[in-house]
Amino acid sequence: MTIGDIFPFLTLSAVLVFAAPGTRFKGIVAAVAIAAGAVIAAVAGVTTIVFPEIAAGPGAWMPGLDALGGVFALAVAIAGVACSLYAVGYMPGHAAGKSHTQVRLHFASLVVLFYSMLGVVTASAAYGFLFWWELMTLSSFVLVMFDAQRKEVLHAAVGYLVLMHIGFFMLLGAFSTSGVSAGGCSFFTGEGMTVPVFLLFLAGFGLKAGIFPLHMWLPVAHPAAPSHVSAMMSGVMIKMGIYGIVRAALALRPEALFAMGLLVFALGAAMAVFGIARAAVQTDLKRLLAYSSIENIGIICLGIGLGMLGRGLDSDFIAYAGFGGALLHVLGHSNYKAMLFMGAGSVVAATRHRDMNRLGGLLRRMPVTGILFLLAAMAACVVPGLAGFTSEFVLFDGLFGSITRGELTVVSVAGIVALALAGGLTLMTFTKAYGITFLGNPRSCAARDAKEVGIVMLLAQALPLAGILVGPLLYPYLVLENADALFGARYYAQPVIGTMVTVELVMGGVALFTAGLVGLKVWLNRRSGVAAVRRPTWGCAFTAPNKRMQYTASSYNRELQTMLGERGAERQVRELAEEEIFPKGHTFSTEERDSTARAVTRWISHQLRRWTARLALFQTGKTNHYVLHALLLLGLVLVLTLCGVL
Amino acid sequence: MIPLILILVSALFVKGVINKTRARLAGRTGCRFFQPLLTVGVLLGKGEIYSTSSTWLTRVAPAVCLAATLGAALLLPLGIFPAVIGFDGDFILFAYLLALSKLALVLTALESGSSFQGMGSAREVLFSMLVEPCFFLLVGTLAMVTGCGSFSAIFAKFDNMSVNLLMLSLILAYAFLNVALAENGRLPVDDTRTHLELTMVHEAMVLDLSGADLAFVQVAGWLKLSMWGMLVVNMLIPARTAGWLLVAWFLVAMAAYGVVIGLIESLMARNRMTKNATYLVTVSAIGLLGFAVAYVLLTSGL
Repeated sequence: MTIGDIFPFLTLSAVLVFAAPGTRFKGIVAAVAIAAGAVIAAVAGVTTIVFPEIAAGPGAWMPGLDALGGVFALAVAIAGVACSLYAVGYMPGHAAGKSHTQVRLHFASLVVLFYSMLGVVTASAAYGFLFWWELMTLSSFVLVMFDAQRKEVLHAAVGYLVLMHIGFFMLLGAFSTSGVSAGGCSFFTGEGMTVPVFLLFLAGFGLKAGIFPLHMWLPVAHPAAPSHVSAMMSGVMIKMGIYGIVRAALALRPEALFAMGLLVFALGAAMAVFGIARAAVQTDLKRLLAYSSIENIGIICLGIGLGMLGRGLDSDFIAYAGFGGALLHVLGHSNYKAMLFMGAGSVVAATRHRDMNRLGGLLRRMPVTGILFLLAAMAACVVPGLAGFTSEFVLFDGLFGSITRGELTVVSVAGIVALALAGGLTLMTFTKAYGITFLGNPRSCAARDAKEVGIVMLLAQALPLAGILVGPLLYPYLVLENADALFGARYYAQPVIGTMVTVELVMGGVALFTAGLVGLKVWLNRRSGVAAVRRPTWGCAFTAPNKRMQYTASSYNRELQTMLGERGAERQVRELAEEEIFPKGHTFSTEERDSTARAVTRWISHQLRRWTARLALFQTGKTNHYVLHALLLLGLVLVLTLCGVL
Repeated sequence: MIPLILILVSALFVKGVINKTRARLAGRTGCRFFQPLLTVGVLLGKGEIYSTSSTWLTRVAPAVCLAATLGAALLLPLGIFPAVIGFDGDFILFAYLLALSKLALVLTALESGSSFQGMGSAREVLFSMLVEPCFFLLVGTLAMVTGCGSFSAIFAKFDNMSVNLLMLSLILAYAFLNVALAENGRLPVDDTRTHLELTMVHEAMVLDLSGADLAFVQVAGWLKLSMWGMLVVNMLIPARTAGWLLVAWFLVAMAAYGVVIGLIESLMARNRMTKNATYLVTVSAIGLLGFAVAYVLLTSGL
């Protein structure tokens, strides 16, 4: 019996969780179950990409996995191990007051979610794919509603479940109409998918990926879920939607490629700017990260669109840069976003606050979490030498390259402007996320008394760091050097990996020079016999500065909010206490409203209500009418049977 | 190597040129030409004062700011003199190295926990976000016109002596100048002279820095000023100039760049803070104009 034979049944290891006593021990069992699968998935993923002939043999560790699936399996493996390890440290504090059954169900779902994602990327038949897809939705639903005693969590989870099932039925429809449900290994691989089927796939997968304007579940569900779950969902689960879109894009019939590529490209560009502009005005740390995920999905879609345009134009270079950049971004983003969500989870665990206006000064109190969050935020800000830079570089290079080749000039310039704008807004978003949360002075007692989280959580957070640091060299090797196995575009004239080595050298030089400057400072101080002293921050001659006078998360983006106008950044002020004769303490809270998502949901629910209202014609409330309805139905059945239809 | 040396040399005098121009137009003698250098010399000899809310970040970040700026300077060519490091897409690294230097400075500012620094950094990231598309548009236009993908190749090939491209080079130089003004915190976006006003951007961010840290940030500021000047100059110096003539052209053009900035600072008022966003979007529109002009020129068969 080989590993490949037992792999599909490893999902059942979730049952082991039920046998384990104690929250921590259950977590360890779940983490071991996930780690076993992760090792297999990572090894199988990398070998499938690098040595396809070995991996396709009978001894394959993950049967059904191809090179494209391998990329996603690698991302799932890294994020899965990190998140399950994080849960071991996080859950004992978070699950206080929960019954054993709830905790068991939570960890079992974590294992199931992990294996169902691997199932999605290995499935080769349509119904197998849909089975794993549905299992992924259900397990993540159970994970999101862990804190269902809170009303907003329940709302978020149920909303998520409903939207995912709308998406599921779209996929079901797409699979059954496209005729690929015949099964076998030909699932998705044949060329000749028609445009309506592709659009159905795009909407179905887009709901999972959070494609604008179908993103309404994303900024609600991520803050509601426990942090390791948000990390897993935002890091890799939404990428499963991307996986489907890439598959569908590769199977699309060639004559439709250009138009659909333009659509995906425009969607991606709009989504990147929209997502990050929304992220920049958030005050809730996890919501901010959720919106930033929308931006990153937008960048990935922009890449996919570029790749489709390249295929439509028969330009290997553009296809290579587009799909290559998209897949690199999948890998890089899965690493740093998992890290950021885990960092946010540590902040929540230490302070019980997600609102950045109540945080501050955490770098002094939680130094390791602070450094890890900073590194991940730097990767998100496209700092050269980290994984975030590689993918953006390939995308930019593809866009500039198509301009210099004289193809797609206007489209590419639009993409460049969108990416540049998104890049500038990312800097704004993450300087705010980091600066307000970790720097300055604490804005509440909880932040003042915060303590560093346990070693297990820190270790879990540090795991994806390996991907961020090694990624700039490893990921281009995996994705770009094997581009023809992944998406059938071959272009080796400019090895990106060589450029990345140069970039790493430059960054090494920058780091060395920084060290030299710090050394110079120390030497200068010693030579002139002065020592660095500590004084309170200069208040510009104001003598009674106060911690409440610091810039807050709300004030940091005040000008951007004004620019976006009140529609873009609407604030809802809620008075929670009502007017009374003898008023007690009033509480007041603000919340951000996403008018785009609200507009979409409101439109759909309005239409739904209108049409169901017409159906209410039959609901008269009179028994004799209902008897008549039954009689008519029986008559219809009789007529149809007589006609031989039934 | 030559462009890097020229940037370092010009970084030493551009600030002096600006100061002198401003002083002369105001009817003053002004401070000494190399006063900025002397100030930095004094700063290097002083010890640092760190805020009680600061950590290791404030001690390292000013050095990162300077190092990243210098790293970006390695990528700039001058005419046919190639840059120290050049590859396809090197301007992406250039833009993001400058972003790293800005990130370091913004985080240092936020660490002081003062509302002035917070205000300054909020404005800085907003304004740099608004000019970022302009830079990429301008480089994209140049890449389209020359068909090359790296700074060195673009500027070696860009031929502004032909009639059509002369017009384009003027538009691009004007747009680069505006980006330079915004990125360096000069008028009309920001005023380097106002200390302790609620209207400042860049200067508010460095309020709590002192000693060698402040010196590093100031040196990084000079470098940035002459690096953006280098881009403007690259647009303006006649193509196919080589040797000492090119160096001479560079020095003259760089001095002119300083004089122009000095003129702008003397003759213009600073924008109202709320108008800055509109102003910077207009700068991006100039970049778009440059692109449109180039696109029309190319498609109509140059």
